[in-house]
Amino acid sequence: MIERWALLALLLSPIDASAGAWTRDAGRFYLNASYSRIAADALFTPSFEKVPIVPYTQQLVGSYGEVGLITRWRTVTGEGTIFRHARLEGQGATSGVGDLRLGAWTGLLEQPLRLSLGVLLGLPTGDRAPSAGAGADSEAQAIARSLPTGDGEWDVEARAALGTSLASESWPLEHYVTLEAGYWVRTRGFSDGLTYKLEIGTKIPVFVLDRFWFVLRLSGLESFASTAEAGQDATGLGNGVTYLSPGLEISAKIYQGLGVAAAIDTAVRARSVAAAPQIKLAISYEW
Amino acid sequence: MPRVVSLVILSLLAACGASFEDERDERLGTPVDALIDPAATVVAHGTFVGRAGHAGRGGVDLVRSTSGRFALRFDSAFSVSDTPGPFVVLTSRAEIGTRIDPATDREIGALIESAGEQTYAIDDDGGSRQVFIFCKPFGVEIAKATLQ
Repeated sequence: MIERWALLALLLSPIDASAGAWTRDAGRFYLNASYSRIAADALFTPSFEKVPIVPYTQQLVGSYGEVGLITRWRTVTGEGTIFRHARLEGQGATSGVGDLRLGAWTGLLEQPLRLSLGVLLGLPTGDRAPSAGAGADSEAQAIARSLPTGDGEWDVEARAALGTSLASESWPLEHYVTLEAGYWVRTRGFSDGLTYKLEIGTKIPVFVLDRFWFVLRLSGLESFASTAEAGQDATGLGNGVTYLSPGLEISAKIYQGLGVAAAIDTAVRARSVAAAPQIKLAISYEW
Repeated sequence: MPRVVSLVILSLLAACGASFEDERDERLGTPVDALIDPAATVVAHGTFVGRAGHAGRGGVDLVRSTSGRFALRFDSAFSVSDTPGPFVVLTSRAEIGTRIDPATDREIGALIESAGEQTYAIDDDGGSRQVFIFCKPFGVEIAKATLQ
């Protein structure tokens, strides 16, 4: 009965990886590897309250890649959690591969704004009900199942991304703005949800600083599950997960296509996720 | 190319079992579903209410058998949210918080089922009148009934 409740955490996806409004030219690619960590001693309940829990930590190693197949019209993406480690202090920990997400984007407009549409397919490559092993007692099995590495369901999301670059001779900074919205169709009894993201990036066009992007981000997921439904499956990888999460990211171009990034975000309104900041470090290569 | 992609995806799907590391200091026994004297008398009654956004309903009786043994008897209307590692806890505290305190809380046993009739044998109530369904791994109160 307990296998559907899993935790938290999980929360937020790796450094916002998606082709988004700017599709990639044919033959060009982007690769990203990231590490993220959450350490929480509180949880957002299915009724959006924050309650204390035993110390919980989650570490993710994620990867993201996108390749341009047809300039403007076709960019494919892949995003996965290569390794997921979740631990409840004094209880137990699970480790394993997480879920995978494949996507295809097409650019509809380039002027005056960028507009792209994408379809993302979620594959249940993680383990939604880890086992404590043969011979383990029922409590150990319950702890193991409460720390899944995947949601166990196939899903599809249709997403639209709008973006524009802002630069002017009368303004000393460069900016970009993206706005994304998606409808997420879930299976295996999960309620559908709306996803959204608003991102504003700023660059200071002076020597050295022009290698950095300072990004403010507001991302979220609004599940259609009722409080009662979310209460039956209260987990960061389960039904009803909802969050509104502001974040900050600083990324830098080191050498040619090589870049690094550091980001922090935290849910301010949420249910069934850990109530703690997520810190993320990433390295990327673009060609 | 499509064949390679398919093979990669199938390999991932086939090799995704997670490993588990047990960090508990002590292991607990199996749940007890004690069948007691049907002629037992009801000493106190309570009604479950969900906590922390979880569902909880149904009644619980503290009963005493003709031989003097005590038990907590959940009625057929009892149900709580599916949660990991739910335990039945009898305590004098109004709130458990995140940890069971052996000094004040009595861990009766793992919850047998998330819904329906079930009975848990106890030595006596020791004056404790708060019955909790408690998610032990996360330390979250799922439901509570006050025996009166």
